[in-house]
Amino acid sequence: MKKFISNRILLVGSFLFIFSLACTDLTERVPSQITALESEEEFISALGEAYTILGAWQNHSTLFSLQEISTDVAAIPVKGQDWEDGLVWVDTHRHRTLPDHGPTNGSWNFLFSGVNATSRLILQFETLVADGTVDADLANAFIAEMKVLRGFYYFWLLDTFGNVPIIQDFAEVAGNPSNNADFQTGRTEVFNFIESEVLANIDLISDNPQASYGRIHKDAAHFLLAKLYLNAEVYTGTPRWADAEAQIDAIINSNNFDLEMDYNAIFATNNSNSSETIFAIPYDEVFLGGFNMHHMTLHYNQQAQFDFQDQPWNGYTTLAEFYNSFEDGDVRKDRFFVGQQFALDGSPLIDAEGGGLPVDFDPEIPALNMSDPGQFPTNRIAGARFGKFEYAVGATPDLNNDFPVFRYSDVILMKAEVQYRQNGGGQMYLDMIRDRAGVGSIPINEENLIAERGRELYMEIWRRQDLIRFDRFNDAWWEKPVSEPFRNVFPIPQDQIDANPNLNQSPGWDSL
Amino acid sequence: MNGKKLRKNISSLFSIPSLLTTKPGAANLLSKAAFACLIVSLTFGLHVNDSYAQDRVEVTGVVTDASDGSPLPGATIIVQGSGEATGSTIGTTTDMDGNYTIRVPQDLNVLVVSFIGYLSQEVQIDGRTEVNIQMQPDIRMLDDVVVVGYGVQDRREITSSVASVSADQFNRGNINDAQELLQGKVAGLQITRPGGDPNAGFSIRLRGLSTIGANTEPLVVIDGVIGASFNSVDPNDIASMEVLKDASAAAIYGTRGSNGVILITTKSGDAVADGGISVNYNGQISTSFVANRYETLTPEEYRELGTRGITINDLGASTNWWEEVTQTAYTQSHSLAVSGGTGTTNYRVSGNFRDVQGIQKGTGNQQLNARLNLNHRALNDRLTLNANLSVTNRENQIGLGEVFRYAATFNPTAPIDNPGSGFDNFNPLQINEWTTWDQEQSRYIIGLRGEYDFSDVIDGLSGAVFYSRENEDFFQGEYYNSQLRFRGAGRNGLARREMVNNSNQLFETTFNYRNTFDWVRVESVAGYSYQEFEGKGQFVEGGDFVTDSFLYNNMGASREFNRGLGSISSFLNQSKLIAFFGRVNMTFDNTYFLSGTFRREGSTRFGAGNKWGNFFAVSGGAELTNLIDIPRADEFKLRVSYGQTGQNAPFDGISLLRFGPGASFLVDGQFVPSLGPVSNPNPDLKWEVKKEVNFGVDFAFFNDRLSGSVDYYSSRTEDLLLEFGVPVPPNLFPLQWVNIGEISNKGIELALSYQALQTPDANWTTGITFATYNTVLESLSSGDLQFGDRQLISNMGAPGLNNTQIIRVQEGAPIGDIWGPRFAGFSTSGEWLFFNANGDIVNRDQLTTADNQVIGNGMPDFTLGWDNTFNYRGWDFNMFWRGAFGHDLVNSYDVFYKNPTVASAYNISREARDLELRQSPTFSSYYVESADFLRLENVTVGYTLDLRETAAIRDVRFFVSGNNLWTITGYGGVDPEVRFADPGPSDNAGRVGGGNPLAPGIERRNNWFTQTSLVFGVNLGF
Repeated sequence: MKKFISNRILLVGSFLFIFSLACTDLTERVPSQITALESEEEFISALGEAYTILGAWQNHSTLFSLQEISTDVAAIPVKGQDWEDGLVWVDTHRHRTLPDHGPTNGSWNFLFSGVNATSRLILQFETLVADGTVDADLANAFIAEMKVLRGFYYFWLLDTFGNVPIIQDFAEVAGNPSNNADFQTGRTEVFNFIESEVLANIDLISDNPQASYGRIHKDAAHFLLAKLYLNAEVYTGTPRWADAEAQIDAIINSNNFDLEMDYNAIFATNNSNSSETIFAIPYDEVFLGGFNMHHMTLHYNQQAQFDFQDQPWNGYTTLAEFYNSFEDGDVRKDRFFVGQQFALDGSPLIDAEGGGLPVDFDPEIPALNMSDPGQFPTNRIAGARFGKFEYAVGATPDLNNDFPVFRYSDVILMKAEVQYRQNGGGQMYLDMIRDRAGVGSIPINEENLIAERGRELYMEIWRRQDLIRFDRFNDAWWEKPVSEPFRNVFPIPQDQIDANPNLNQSPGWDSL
Repeated sequence: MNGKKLRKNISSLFSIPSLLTTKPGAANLLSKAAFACLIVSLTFGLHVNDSYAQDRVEVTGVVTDASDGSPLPGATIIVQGSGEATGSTIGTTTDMDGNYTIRVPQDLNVLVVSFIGYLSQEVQIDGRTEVNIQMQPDIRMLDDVVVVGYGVQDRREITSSVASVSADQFNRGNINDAQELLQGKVAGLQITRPGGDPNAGFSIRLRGLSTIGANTEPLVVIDGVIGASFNSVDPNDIASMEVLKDASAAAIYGTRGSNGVILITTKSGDAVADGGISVNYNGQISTSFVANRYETLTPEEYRELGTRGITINDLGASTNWWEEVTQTAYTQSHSLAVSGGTGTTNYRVSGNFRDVQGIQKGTGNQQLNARLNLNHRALNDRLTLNANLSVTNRENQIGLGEVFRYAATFNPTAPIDNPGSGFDNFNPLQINEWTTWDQEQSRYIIGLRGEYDFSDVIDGLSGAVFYSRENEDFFQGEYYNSQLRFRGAGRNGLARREMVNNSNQLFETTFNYRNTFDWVRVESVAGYSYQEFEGKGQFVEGGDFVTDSFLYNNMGASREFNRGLGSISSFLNQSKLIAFFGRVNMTFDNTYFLSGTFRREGSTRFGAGNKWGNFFAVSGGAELTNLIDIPRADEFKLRVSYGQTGQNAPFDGISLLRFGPGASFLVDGQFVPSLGPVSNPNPDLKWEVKKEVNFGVDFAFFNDRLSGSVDYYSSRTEDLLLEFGVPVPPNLFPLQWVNIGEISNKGIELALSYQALQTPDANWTTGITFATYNTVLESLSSGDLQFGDRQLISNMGAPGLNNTQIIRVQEGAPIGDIWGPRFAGFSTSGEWLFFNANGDIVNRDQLTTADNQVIGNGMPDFTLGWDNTFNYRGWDFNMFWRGAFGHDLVNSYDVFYKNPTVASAYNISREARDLELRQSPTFSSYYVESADFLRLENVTVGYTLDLRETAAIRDVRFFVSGNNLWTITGYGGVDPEVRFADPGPSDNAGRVGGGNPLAPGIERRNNWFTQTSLVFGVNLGF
């Protein structure tokens, strides 16, 4: 009897045992995604990640906002209840930014996501070349392109934050960046890193800007180096004007680009392949969304002016002083929205929720903080609105206009500046830009150069960099008081320092 | 009092003569026989030794129920002291007629008689040869057998914290969702659904907040189907719900037990005498109307405001917006259940239909549910087969909370129809009428179980296999009319379709072993569990239609697709959970109890080395009344438990580097879609573990008139699964799912029941549940990942307060601290005045972020439930109060609209009229209100007709009931109910994100108005 029982137990036990072995498989499957790149088509597609990140280039609350709102060309005034936003935008304009302000962290994450994407792709391509699974020439061209593009992201990190960590090896540091001895090696080292990376790869990448539209190519690399050398004194303390001019000349002498006859054509809805565009983000309402300048600046009721799909936000305005710095007759001045606005059917727009006032923009803004509508009844219609880019009728939240990140008129203005800096020349180049705008010559000097750069390139993310280079960023204007020089870089975001205690805050910011 | 009589009333009332909730009595012979079977199986190992000896006297007799004299088959009779005297226990059981014969050694004089459901007795033989024994029913048997994970347990032997709520204790009235049945009934279990939206989800929290990153709600198990949805069961079909509160009880469910477990047992069929059937019908109709809304100005009051020098915008008309969008809602429900059986085969079939209207026009839901529970016993009762099948179809007509928001705040002088102006974006009537949002959920659950009694092989051994499949098809269609500007403006009509199918299959095999060795009783279970999950779905969105008539039914007519716009997506997710588990319960001398549980569980979602986790629990208890004399105590059990439970990763693929399609980039001038990583992979992610200790006392005094339990628990959740800020670089994204930090919960729970009045005609039972909460975020740091000083989350929202964060999250601080400036008053010119950090009064421009401080907390300190049941002859009366205390709420409505300066754009709070405030809205403690409340949730009055036994209709009961009748609170917003998670402010199109459990305490402006319901119903039994 005992034997019988233990046999049964054995039977049950072995059944359980076999059953358990067969049914403990926990391999994970993710059917709607892929976990490894295999075909060449997959790899080319993977390359896109390094570029599509640029879709956030012009987004509100990241790099674009930080770079423009901190200057004398743009502000987001508080309009009653609207845009109070914890006074972040008032503080940004007045240079009272704090390390825990959202836009600094947004900018950091945006730029480093570009660094990470390029570093990851470089590693993946290098692994494939080592494995012999892809054509080495094709892969090497991709690797070179990614390294220059990483230089582009690092250039903006250098410009915005200064002393940022240089992370180029995706694999090694994935575990713990604080173990890396070179985590933060100083602004000059960042400068040197970008310079050496771009120089080492400039001859390996495409030299056909038309075929490489929307991508990094040789002329874009020259432009990047020109900007790096132009601001070398700010970044490293040592001016590099002649080096800058050599890069500028390389672009001019390539004969790939020319100034548009019509200033407006550069910013038109269909501005792809403009002769002036060197490197563009090819925004598209279907394929690459993210360009929503129309929402950021226009009044709510201007939805009816353009039959926009969504209501604009009534945010960004320009400063009266800047608007007035354009002469009458300057084609660039006409790009602003001032005065009474009209619906598509021709009827004047009325701001019903804003006390029934007409939507009639006055460039003069009573105050940066107009939180009290009783004191500032025109708060919602104060300030000229930006219309640099054409806004298409019926536009979705994503505009179709390409954003010219690098453009030829900047090359011409840089040429004017480097000549002026080196030998007082450059008048001819300054005149070219003013002539195209329909205004007469002004004598070349620092005052006129920085002013003209503003009028030509405002809202293209260069203004803050230019003001710093011309030593004007710390000056007072409108409601912005004189600010301390340490504010010429933005603080390392508090979120990043919280996430990685080994990150050091920049001088000045650390004692706030 | 006559416990059996009460029991009879209840069972006829709910007509659920089930094994688990029915006490044996004369009226229920067959159920008594079922108990006999149970007791026979329980005592199989008794080793009854009836050996013949010369010096023994034969004693015979009959064992009967003292209350009605009916015989009790299967009662156990043991000769006291026989073990010591003869070396083996002498005992026997009664036959089907309650007769017994036993041979008693001459020097022994005491028989111990026991039977489940009755108080055990010791009877002196005193030389008699016929000893008839009358057994007193044990009133506590009403809920004496409790469903626990993978089995049932005698309540008196339970050493962890388990609350059991049977159908007669459920909430009453206008109840259309199973969750509502439990609201306020279990100490420590909070079920909330603020506002009157009949389609809104419930927040369910057990013992505070144990986890913050992923799922925060208890696991639901319906008839053994793990992870089933509350929506799969109709409230009328539920026999009982058990809440496994502490980690010790929940550990058998291992990885999913961290937030507690709710076990739902549906009503099952029961044999009816002579093979007849029992038919029950419940029907009710109810009417619901707005109970509380946000009070704003009438058109006249608004215009009058303009005469006071406040800027208004008089558009010439007079419109009562909330009257335009609300309705008196009518709801009906019908439930028909048929049950019967022969003793070997029992069944119950039920059908339920509900048609619910919401207080917002055009909203509501219709639910049709059918259920079959079938039991069959075969092979001399050794084989038990059980099949459960339920099918549910529910259609929802969704109403946006923004309709109420704008009904309260849209300009009261705007004409109803005001097309053209951008002003029309927020016309509540247009939002209500031009929005079509329908959902349809179809679910079925199949559960098949076979159990075989192996006791011929090994005493006390049985084995079971269980298979279940749950399937849910979810459809959602939305259409925004081409004229609507709130959503889909500029799209010329916008349609969305979403179809999701979720299914899971569960296979389990268990072995049970129960035996009694002298004074030790052992019950144990061991098993294997395999569950695979699959989710798949597709989503289509397109606009630009020629006509609004298609709604969401003809996506091909969307011209956006022709232009490359519109969007389509689909997905397939698969995951598995595999587990081995076991539990041993031991009872020593009916006085000491010991229990141990183990579960080893693996999930596909973790990285290769971290898939498996081990979870165990131990608990013990002692029945003190068996050891010392406690005056008037019938029961006084001390228990202590410790256990670990886990939390699975929140979604699939979390450990892997995955690539998905993103935006496009240019390759030779052509757009090519990019393939990029979708998240930071974390192959090191592992199980989140909760450790909990629980001390408890179960007690009963004064012949069980006063009974209850007290629990103290302290838990700590470690390695919290949380999406956390990580450095960029080296990470691809600034957020990553990591194991980080600890959260602790402590609390005291009290459940008391008192039979205050017991007379033949009248009974009054009153019960209280009380629970305290203390949830602390102990740490949010681990290694290099540091949380930092604090984080401020949950922005107040548009307009203008998008960057105003109002909740502080800080290590070592309670969860739910509301953060902002402390209000000091208004200046004579109507400026805001605040206290700065030094306590000085400053104006708004002088205020800095350094002056912000904790100005409230959104988590309650304690909750209360108070239940009263009164019976007088045929009348029954029930009253239930529920309250939460100690929590604050941010009154978002007031933040934006209790301010005269916004009157040019919005209607304002009635209280704002006389407010000396002339500055724009600013968040401060002014808008943080104590939201203590005590709510009269339900009053029900019923009358049961006294019918003759022979009547065709067995039972008739009529009742009227009211829900949400009265709320006592000082809170000025819409609903003082606790808000456990913050979905964030809605955007201009009223879309919100998922709820953040770290940000309780905010009443957002899209809250539905609350409703009060009045119900008339009838219960019929045939």
